[in-house]
Amino acid sequence: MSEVEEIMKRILSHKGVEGVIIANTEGIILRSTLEDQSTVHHVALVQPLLMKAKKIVQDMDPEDELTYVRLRTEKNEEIIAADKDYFMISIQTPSL
Amino acid sequence: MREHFLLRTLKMFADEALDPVTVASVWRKAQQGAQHSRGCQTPAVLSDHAGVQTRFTASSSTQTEPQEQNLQEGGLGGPDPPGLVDFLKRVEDPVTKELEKNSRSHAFDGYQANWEEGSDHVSLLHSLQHPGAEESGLHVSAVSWSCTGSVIVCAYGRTDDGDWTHQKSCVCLWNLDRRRLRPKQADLVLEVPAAVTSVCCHPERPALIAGGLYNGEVVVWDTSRTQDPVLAQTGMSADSHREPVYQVVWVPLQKKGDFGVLSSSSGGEVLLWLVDPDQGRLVLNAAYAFVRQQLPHSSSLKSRGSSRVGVSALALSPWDADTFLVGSEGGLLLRCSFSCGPPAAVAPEGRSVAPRAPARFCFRPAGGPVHSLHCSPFHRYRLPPPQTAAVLTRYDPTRLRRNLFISAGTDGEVRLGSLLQADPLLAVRVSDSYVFQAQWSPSRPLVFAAATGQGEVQIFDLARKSLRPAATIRDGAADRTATCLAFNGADPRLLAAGRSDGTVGVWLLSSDLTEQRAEESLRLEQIANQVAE
Repeated sequence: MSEVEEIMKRILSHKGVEGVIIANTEGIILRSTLEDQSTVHHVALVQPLLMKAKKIVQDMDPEDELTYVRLRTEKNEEIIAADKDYFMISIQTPSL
Repeated sequence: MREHFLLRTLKMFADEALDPVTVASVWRKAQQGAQHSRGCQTPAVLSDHAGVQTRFTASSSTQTEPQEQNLQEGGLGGPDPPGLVDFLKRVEDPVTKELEKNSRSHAFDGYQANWEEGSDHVSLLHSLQHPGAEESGLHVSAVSWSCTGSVIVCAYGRTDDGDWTHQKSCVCLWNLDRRRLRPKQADLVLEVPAAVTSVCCHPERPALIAGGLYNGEVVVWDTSRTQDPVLAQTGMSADSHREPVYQVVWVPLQKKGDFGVLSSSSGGEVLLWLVDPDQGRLVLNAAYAFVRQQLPHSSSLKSRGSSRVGVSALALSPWDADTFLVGSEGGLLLRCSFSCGPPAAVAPEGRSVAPRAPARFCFRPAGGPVHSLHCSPFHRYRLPPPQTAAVLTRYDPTRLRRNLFISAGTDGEVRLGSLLQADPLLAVRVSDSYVFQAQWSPSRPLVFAAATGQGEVQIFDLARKSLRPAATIRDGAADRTATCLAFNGADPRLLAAGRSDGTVGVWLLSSDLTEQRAEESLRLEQIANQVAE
């Protein structure tokens, strides 16, 4: 099993995690545990938000860097970790 | 685009065989001079794509080549792009930390985002009047909403004088869901031979209305009958009240779906009637009489005057079918039971059913006549934790529903009490004059409204720190008392208030008074637990 799969499995094993999506900054999906159509939909919606968030951080303080974007809804929370080339979305249901 | 156009024009110039027809022009050749073409230039056509919208699409057929199946589990195939592994290695630890923190976090407990636009104000929707009642100078003595929430029933009578007038009055119904609602004209007017003191709509059948009259009669109307809406009445029999009926309430009976009418009067009785539609009569099922000597001794009363205790207010407990609350003209507040009780120490008076004395517990008396009682419709009893459940199988008085109730009377205060203790938990100063009616909101456990003698309806919110009213509804002159009010059970944003000038106002409450917030039930419990046992 490649390293990528190992890491993804480890993340999935955490409590409440429902899915993991890895894509590159242009929006091309690399790995995903959800089914294709919803993954495409998800990435297409999240990617502009991520770009905007990056821009906000850069504009506010050029020396600062975006680490995560967390989107919390009534049903679950998504942690989006990004860097220059790739980003990863982890979807977790909080344990309330 | 341009190539396409050129191709089409070229096609137009394809060879075709046609019979040539030529008609030579004679004069033109002569007139035509020499013509030279120098050059032509057209500026570039600027084109920009503004937008395209398809109104409808139709797909006739498509064909795709079969795709290669993904062999890798959960992945999208293909080799890992460079740097992906490094990225993941870098990101994995922080993300894991966040995920674990998240699973343990309580940061958002009880937080509920509300994206709906709420209204900020309380606004008057309709002002309903019945010209006939206004001419006779009748006040609105009671309002009640039907169980569906679309019809409002207004009863007219007098709330101030106490003589046996033979004044005819009426009960008017307006259907607020009708498009052409005519505020000056009721949809249905029921003529009544005496002043009506109280009405109550049936909790399940929207056509039935029970009413109590000033001459002691109790009537049930059926508005679905066209001929004669009176379905049943007590008539002036030996069973009926001799004094004016103060309040009527529909009571659920043993058999599910059956309801009886409970009526209270200033003569000191509370009677339970069953509806007999065939004979058109209300049949007495049970009678309860209040005699001063038989009241529980936990109250200090001066036994002066007649021994009868006139009942002025009645309330049912929504959680305990056996309990009901009674308020008297002398300010007494009693908790009573339907089923158990010794026979009442009164002369039989020719009643068909022997009366019982139902009072079980006496709360601290109010300073004046109690006009209104209402039990909180929100469940307040919490089950004990499982490990002590075995111990509580024997009868334990604390298992009685610790229901909260409010009482309002002429002392200008609304008191919040618990069914288990004699002293009130909280007394809220509502106005300087009488309070005619107080009712809990059906949607927010901490909100109640009170109709005052100064013409205002005050709405209080116990979630607020201060005890000043959350909203005040003032409609017109201050010398018109607000005599009655009713929350709409089906649509909790509507509140109807009747006044002594004969008008009924239907008000739309703001969203902060109607939408339940998180932990309100908890706060209600805290208030009820204030005086620990």
